[in-house]
Amino acid sequence: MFEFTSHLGSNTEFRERAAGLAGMVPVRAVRSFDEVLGHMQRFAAVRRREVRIARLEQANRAGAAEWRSHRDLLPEGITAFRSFVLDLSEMAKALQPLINPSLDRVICLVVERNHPLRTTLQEAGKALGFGTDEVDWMFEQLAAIDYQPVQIVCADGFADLLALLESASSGELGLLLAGFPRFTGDVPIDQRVEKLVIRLSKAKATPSIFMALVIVLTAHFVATLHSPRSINTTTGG
Amino acid sequence: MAILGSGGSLVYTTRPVGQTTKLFVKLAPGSFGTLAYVSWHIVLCCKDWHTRAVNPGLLEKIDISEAAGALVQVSNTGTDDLEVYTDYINL
Repeated sequence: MFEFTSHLGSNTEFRERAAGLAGMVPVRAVRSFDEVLGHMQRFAAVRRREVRIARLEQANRAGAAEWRSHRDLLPEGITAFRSFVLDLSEMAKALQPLINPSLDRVICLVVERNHPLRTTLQEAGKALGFGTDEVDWMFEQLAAIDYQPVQIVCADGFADLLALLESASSGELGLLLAGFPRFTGDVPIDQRVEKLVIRLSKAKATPSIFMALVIVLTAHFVATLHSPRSINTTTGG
Repeated sequence: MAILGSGGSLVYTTRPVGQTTKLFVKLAPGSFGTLAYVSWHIVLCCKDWHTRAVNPGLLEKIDISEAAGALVQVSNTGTDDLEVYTDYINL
């Protein structure tokens, strides 16, 4: 799915803005994001099924039998999502030096509708099982915070991003909640999450795994660009 | 129970789908209710804010079961202090 990476890597604006972060790229090897997303294929299938049954039920074309058979699939979907969130947290920790407000200069390239960074993030959202309308919502959220997710999410430090990831529901209380924050029972984390919810609401935005994904994935692309193994095309964007 | 000043916000968790969660709001002692409003928002995709006036002497009971396990942000969007709590666990 990341065939766009080379397209992105050859984009002049992306390369220029990412150049300012070159000195912050961690030495650790860049992990394949496809590997991380691999967890999500099963989750995505189960989530789409849940959305479909909910819609059919609203039209009186599905009922208890469909939900019963669906329940058998839920544990697999939940486990897959949890693995994905853990992987995303690990990636965030590995990429921490890049996750600073300067990264927002790269992220704000998505303001251009056809920019390869935006296209790639759209594809990532869909690969996670989210529908087109939900992915569009993600970009509306970014617009609401002036395309500065690092500055706003990490206002009280990098630990805020980790708190957001830690709090992300894996869908235990319903797959439609997957990716949105819930309290963890760990008071310091929950206090950070509460502040994050309130901070984002001032910009009429809602914290979710989408925000974390945009931050971590963009940092990953910057690291990939500066990695010796990256596709270093110079053909221009 | 928490006292929520004007412009303040709190976040509550809710019971899972199929169970009810109620939010309770009333004027804090010493408030008069001239411009008392509470707003709430389910912390999920595409959810709108709701607002209700808080009248003197009344306990407003707001059903937030729709959140079904999600967080709900509650904000004091008026000028009077409010007392706020839910019938579920709080942070």
